Amino acid sequence: MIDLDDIVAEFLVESGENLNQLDRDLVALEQEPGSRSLLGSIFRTIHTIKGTTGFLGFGHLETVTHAGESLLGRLRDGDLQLTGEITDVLLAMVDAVRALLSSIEATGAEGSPDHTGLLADLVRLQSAPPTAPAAAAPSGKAPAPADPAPAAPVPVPLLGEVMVAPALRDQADHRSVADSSVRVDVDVLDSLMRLVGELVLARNQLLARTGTGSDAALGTAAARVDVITSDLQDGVLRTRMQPIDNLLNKLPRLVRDTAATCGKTVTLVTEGGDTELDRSILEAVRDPLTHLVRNAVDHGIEPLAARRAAGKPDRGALRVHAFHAGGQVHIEVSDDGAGIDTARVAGKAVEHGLVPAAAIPAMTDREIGSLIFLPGFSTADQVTSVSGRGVGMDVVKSNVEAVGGSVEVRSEPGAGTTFSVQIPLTLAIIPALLVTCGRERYAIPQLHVLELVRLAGPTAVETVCGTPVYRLRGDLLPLLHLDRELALGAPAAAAGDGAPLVVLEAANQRFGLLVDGVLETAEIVLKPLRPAPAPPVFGGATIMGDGRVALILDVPGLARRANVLAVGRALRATAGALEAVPAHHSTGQLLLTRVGDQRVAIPLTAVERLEELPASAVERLGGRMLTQYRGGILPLLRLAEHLGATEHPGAPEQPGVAGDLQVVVHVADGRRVGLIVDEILDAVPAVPAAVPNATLVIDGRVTAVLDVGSAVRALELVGSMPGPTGAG
Amino acid sequence: MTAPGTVQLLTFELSGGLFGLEVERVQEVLCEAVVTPVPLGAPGLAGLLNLRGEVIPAVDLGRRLGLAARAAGTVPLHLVVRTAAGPVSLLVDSVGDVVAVPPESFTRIPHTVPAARDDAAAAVPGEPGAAPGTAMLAGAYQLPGALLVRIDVDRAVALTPAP
Repeated sequence: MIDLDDIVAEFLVESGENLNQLDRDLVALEQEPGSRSLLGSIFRTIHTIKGTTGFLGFGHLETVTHAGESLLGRLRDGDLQLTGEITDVLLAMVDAVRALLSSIEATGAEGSPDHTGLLADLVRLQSAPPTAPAAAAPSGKAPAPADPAPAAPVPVPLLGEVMVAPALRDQADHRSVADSSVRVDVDVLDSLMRLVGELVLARNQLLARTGTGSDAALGTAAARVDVITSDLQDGVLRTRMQPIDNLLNKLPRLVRDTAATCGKTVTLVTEGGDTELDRSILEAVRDPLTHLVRNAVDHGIEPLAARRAAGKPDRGALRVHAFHAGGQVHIEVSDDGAGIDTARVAGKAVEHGLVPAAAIPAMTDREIGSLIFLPGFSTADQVTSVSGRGVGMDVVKSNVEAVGGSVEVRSEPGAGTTFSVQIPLTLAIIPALLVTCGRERYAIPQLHVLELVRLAGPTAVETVCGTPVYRLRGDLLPLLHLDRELALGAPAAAAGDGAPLVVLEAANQRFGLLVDGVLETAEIVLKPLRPAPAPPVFGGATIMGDGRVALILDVPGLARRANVLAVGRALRATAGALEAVPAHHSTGQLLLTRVGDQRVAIPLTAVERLEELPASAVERLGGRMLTQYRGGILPLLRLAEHLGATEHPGAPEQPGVAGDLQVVVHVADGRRVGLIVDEILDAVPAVPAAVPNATLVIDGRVTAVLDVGSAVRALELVGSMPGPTGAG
Repeated sequence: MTAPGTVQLLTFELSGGLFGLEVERVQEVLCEAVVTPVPLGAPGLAGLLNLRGEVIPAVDLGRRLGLAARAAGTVPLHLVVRTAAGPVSLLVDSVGDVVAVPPESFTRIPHTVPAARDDAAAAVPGEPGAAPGTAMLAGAYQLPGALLVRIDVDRAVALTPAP
């Protein structure tokens, strides 16, 4: 009976695909109840399955599909209008067929399922009296009027002919599609991949040895092998690529069912179905994607009442978008719901003991949002049957990370939430950066490498709160020493001049890794690390060109072990305090003065000259204070008055000539003005925080930084002054 | 432990002692192999080596058994055995002949030898907290002029990860 088994196997595969198509078509039909093409397609699919099941002797399948076909026949003839209930029952029929098929696949027989309820529903709906055109579709579109002229309104004998013709046409289409593609057993593909992996290794070894050789012919041959191997590698990798549509096309039914269970209506838009990725990664991402979609419908999109209150359309909008970017596959699941309630999330996290309450204020909204990925977290006030058992999001995260990907969440309160999944294109052969540390070489997957930096010198590594950090274009990067992380024990060479720093990123946290040397980037074949479980800082091993084994670093594992995320967070919190670091960050100097009993600092760049004028040199005119200065007239402003300091000059801090005015001459727009202070104290190095109107602590005293511009404007309010005139 | 029937053991030397394991488990012997150490790996893991393109672990059997460390400069041989998870290399000092051992010569190893114990107290020096069931020594055979200690291959390669 071998032939029969082959036929059954073929039947199972094709029917599986047909059922998936049925799911999609039925859900699409609900939106377009009048679509003749959809109805026709659905009818033909069921009819085909029914025909084959009769031939193979699967009684239950035949009964169920026959009842479904009758119901569909009435729909196709226009006697019945599609209602939500009919769609539900038809989908239930699809599920029943699917269950029967898997029973056949597992045991070879249908088993003895009970379809009484389903059959009763199918018969009941099928025998209902013809319904008048009604607003059946939930979208409220005007339904197609009952069309009394279907394709074959003819007596029974001719019905057979009509049925055959479309089926033949299908087959003709089928054949041309079938000609251009083949089914290949997955094991064959896997072994091809393995062989190509070995070829890549051998190619690397060959290149390593012929690179410096004197045999020209050998070198040429090796170069050809190199090119061919690369092309072969690309080709075989492509055979394993499948479009992500395989996952996306299951979503319409999932969304419909989930929405119905939650009592909501949701519109699903999918984009980028032709984005391809390796089939093993596709499998790994299937469950996480399903959960994210369910979660978006269940928790993301608000109940109808809340949506109306917020002025949103009744139907929730869910968008699943897949695309390639930066050598990875991105999948975004976005909803237009209420967004993540960070207060509630933070509260739940503290309540479940996942995060200490004291840490919350220092966390950004994004970090609080990421708390939902912690194990044991759930904000559902009641655990729904769909999701919310507190085991969902952390499983999503760990499944995605298991294939080398990452997941993050962005949310806008009131507007919606987007989950973003990033996964590598393929696992087996990856570009990597080779570095040395101690006596060995290590490979860092290029995926996580942002850039390479050479340290300018020992001072390039600063310390904040006891953590070594590196300032990269204004951001503080936590630093890890690879030799310390691996406990290599050898004395860590002080990061001297030109020491290489690899800037890495994992889970949105950037950090720097100090290594001994950087070799090159190369494509390496990732081999699993045995024995399992491997230390979490390693993601596998590879064989180098010289035949030696090198370990591959697992960057997220390294980051987790060194607690880089927490360090990064702590650094951001203290970054503000760091701004007061003086010394080599000075950008100028400040003139320290006393005004009344206050200390005032004036940026030295604003000071043209310092003058001492006898009080008698000050003349008054119309409420203004002036003095003759350098052939012109210098308007004067008492800073004590301007700043509201105490009126009297106060006791001088330094011994000086009493009675003389200390004037700071400032040039504004080509005109000079004089600012009178009570005492000029010192010039001190500036700090980046010394901006106008800032208050600093300098030399142990609270000091205000003068806003010179506003002082000048105060003078101008008093009246415009003539510019320097001729000698007078 | 019940006395086994006649078995064929491949003998090898480790730290002056004579050991053996079932010859059917032996895949090959390597004279030279470069071992790459695995930082933070299990204490008994000497490292990884490249066996015709496959990365296999090398187990420091002497350390696992609590024997004296190999003298610096001496190069070990690699006794590659087949396991359920793939080939594993055992580091030994030298490899001898295959010996057919008669069952009558079998004796149990006293429980004062930690590596022969099966309980939680079997902590081999250098192997922190060995789990129960790690008795790596399956028994001994009295041969004329020598005591041959048989190694339980599966337990010998079952490394506990570093804490």
